[in-house]
Amino acid sequence: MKCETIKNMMSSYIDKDLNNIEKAEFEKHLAECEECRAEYESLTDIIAACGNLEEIELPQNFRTELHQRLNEEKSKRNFFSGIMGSKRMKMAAGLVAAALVIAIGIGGSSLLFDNSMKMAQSADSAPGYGIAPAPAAMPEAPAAPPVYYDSDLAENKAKSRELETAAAEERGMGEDSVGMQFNESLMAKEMAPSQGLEGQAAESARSGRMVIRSGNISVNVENVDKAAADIRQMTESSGGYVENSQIDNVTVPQFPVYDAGSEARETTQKYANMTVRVPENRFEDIFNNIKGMGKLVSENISGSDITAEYRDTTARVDNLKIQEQSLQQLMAKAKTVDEILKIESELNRVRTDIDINSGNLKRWDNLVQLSTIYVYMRELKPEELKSVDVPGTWEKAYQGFIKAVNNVVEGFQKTLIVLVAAIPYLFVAGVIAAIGFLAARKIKLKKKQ
Amino acid sequence: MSDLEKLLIKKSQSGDVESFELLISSYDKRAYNIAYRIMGNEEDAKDMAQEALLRVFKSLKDFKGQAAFSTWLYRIVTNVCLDELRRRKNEKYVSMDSTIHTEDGELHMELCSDKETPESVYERIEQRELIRNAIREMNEDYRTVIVLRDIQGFSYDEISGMLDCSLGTVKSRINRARTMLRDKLKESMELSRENIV
Repeated sequence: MKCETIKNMMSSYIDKDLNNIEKAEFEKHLAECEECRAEYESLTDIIAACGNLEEIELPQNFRTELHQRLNEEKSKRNFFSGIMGSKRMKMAAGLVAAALVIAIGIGGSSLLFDNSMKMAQSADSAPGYGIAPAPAAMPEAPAAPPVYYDSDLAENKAKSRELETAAAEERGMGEDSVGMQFNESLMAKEMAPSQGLEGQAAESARSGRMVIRSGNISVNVENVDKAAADIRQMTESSGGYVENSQIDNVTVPQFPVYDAGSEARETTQKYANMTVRVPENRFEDIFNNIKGMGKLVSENISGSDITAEYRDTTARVDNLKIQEQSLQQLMAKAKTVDEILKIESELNRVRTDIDINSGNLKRWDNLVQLSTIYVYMRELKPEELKSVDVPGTWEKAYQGFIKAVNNVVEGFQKTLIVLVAAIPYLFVAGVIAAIGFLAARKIKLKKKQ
Repeated sequence: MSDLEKLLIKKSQSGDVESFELLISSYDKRAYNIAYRIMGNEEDAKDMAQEALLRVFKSLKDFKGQAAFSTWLYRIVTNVCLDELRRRKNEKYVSMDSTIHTEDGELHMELCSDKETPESVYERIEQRELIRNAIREMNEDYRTVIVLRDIQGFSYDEISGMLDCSLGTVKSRINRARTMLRDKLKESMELSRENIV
């Protein structure tokens, strides 16, 4: 072998990345060629010296500084809540809210129109609203304050709704990660279309991707025992099995808050924890079925891709098997006891490696073919199940927004009604004021004269 | 990946700073050391390591868990460092301690230190110091593989994941980098021997 080739192999040799044949050739050359040996030794020296370079400690303020920067980053992320801190930003938020109201108004949703019609009707049905509270000689005084008060209130409400909407949006952002994981697993499903059980995994390692999938579900159900039995039945009929199932009946003391005098009562609460393994292709259905058994509290699906490791290990096993064969051929030619023993020990090593690696492959096959679902169930009585029913974030935000819009519209309408209703009084008051003013001037003039 | 790590990642993804700090507490020192070896001085190392960890926090939501978290983290660290070095190169940034390539040849700039006592001169020719300098003078791509393989001891697989290049590229780059390092060291050792005499 040429020195040039040997030089190229040097790093691989040092890092034990050569196969046995290459290794033997390398060592043989090194024993013969002084130049290469010197080069090899200088390289190993340097590498050892690199490894000996001291590890330096973190600077003292490293973590505290990082902590600060992380918190800054976090508050930047909480854009809306950060903004709401300052007064000026509150005003800006108000303006934004107003702009939104106008935009919606112009957008002309029929819903808004309906609402304002209703408002107008309700204003009509309160007859004499604008005229009634005007008994005195100066009528604009009592009429005006409620107007300001109302519009103020409306604005305030609009602001608070805006805050709620912002908060809701933020929460929505937080939930993104769950959605993403779900997407990923969907992708994984498309990529790993393994249908049957045995041997499919190895096939899909070559063609598609090997993904170990697992899901977490937490649901509130009416009857834990029944749900657990259903899940067991479903799992077993799909070809999977229940790995773990536990049902707890927990007694919880209840202290009535309002009534300090009464005795503490006890309620029992049933929980179930189950781990089930189902065939990969039925994962989605069964997951959704369990989800539908009660009120969903949380769900999460995740996949971890082991394609690369799987492929590497398969290749390693193949290589080892070839090695085993050649060793067996060698064994046939062996003559001395010493040779036989040496080959025997090498064979042993290779076979152990094969066992370990193919064991890993089997384990992976199993993990990929059978997805894992972790189920957590809590028993709730039917009426509790209903009362737990909270509208979703968007629903709340939507309703808040509609309310805010209605308040603003109502405010405008009331202002307009009162203003229009006050016109006669304003007119009379103006005339009286003018007469009074003129009279006062005349009196003044007379006095001067 | 352990279950705890998975949980911490999930919590960090939703912006929990404490979980994130716990998550990186076993990696930050190594991250800092990688940055130190690539950048060549402690100040830059601190800036780069913090920048990288901040970036990890920001982009954690994109982390899908295909590779090990540590590999992914160190990958960001090396990327941040290499980006910075490239940026400096483009800005014709002259560090106070670097080699500038001019048309007439190489110019090595160095801060002269007040502490240049006979002892420290002697210390400077120590092998360790020589290696440190030689690594510092290497081209950043080769320096990075030396740092990752021979100083930090990552496997070829891990390095190919961190640098986002094929195993073959990593192998040949490491081979080339080691030879380069050796040649550089030979040079500087001869130089220092001349100086003593």
